[in-house]
Amino acid sequence: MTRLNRRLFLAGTAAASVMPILPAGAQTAGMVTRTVSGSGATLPAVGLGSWITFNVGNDPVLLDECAAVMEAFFQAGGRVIDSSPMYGSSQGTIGYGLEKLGRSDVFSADKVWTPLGAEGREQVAESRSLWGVPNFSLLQVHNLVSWEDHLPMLFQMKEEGALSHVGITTSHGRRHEDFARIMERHPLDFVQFTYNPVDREAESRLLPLAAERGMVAVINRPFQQGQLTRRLEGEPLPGFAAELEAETWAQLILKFILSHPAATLPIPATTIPEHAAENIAAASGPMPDDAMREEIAAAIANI
Amino acid sequence: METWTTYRLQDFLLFSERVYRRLFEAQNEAWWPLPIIMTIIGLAILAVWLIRSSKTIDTARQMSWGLMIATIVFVAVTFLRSRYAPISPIASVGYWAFLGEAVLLAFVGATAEPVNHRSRARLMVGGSLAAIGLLAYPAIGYSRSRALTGAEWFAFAPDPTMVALLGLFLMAGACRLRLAILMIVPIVWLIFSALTLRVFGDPVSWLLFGAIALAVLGCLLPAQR
Repeated sequence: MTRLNRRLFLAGTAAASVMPILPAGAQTAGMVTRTVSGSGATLPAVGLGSWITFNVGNDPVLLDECAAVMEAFFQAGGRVIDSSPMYGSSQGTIGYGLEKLGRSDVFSADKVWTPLGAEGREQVAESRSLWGVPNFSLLQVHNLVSWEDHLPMLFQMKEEGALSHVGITTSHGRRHEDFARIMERHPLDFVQFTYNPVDREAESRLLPLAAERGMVAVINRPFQQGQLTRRLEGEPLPGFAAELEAETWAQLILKFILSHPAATLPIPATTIPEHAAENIAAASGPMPDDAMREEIAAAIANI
Repeated sequence: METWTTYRLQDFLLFSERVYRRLFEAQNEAWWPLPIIMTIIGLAILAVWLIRSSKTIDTARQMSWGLMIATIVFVAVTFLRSRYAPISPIASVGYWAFLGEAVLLAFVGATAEPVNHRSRARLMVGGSLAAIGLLAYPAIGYSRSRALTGAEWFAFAPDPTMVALLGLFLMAGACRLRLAILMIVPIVWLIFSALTLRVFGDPVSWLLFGAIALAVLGCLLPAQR
């Protein structure tokens, strides 16, 4: 067994070993999946974000472009789409795309984002109407805004059968201490925060805690809102990228995220259908082990 | 509080530059060729305020206030509310602010006394601002997109309309207090727009900051010779 093959093999073993939430067969059909411990729902490990990219208003040309991105995403095997009432018209854009494509098998991940606890349910109802879905698969408290009010409301909705999963979100490395405390005290299904080869703060506390508590870690800003991939544009990929079957920097970054021992689920946003398919493809093929992950981070840091 | 220090300007912008540019394309396509016709009318208004006062010209000036009020309302309804507000909550606020400005202008226009012996410096500053809004904006847009419908036009896009309006205020030679009150909405709007363009790395933001500075300078100049 060559050094590389052994490393890739070890990476696979490591991933399986931390999978109370990633049961045997989690990488069936060649694609890494995540299984939610509470519900048993199994999801492709790469989702689709909608921050900025899907806020296109009522422009029919741009709405169709977004629907094309969703179509490519679904065709490539994607299911998780994430949005928020904070994202302008993104929810309506997703609703438009779902209706146009006739898709009802989306894993709808949205958020509650209002400082007024009493408005939470009303906002959820409005979001549901914009998406055009009967119920959300996942609702998260956006950036911990009024989480003391919203979290009990979401758990109640789950108990009532009006919601499948509950989570919380943050981004840019903000409020990690508060975030960790909530993770420790509440039975969340999902947690969402920023993680990529450059922003690695989550490695110290949130990712290990997510693994320990059996929570799926939705990863926002995998490309730093495109800044990271723009910086790497035109730079040659490191030699080991081919061995990981990564054809682009974006895929290499996603493999870095996906190969963390926690159940990570990155949600890159894009306006280009080909990129949506390319992102999903990153969840297939060999994954890097710890040493190679460090090499990926070092290669990016050196550019 | 510590968290707020981690926010940057771009964290508050919810849309991409591509979507922002499409707003103007879609607006122009919907109303074409009216943007060109309104620019010609705008230039006529500019001429009316630049030339020497007479009875006919004074009547034309009174009419131009009415046209400017209609223009502000038109931009508010067809652009800010219908196109921009769905992607930006600040545009929703802008919509109401523009309507407020129209009401204010209607009141001021009805009560303003004609100013004789207007200051040449103010006329020059005001005229320059109006020319930026009426001519420079479409020219810049065209040079970038190579399409007239890709440009921002007076009476159809908020920024050139507000810049031209500031110019008109200065040329009208209203008293400083009245002028300062009228300039609040246009200046606040232009600051918002300039910051938006800064996030996109668009050098036109400096043109807007320059226009704001020019308007403030013009306001400080004496209204009459």
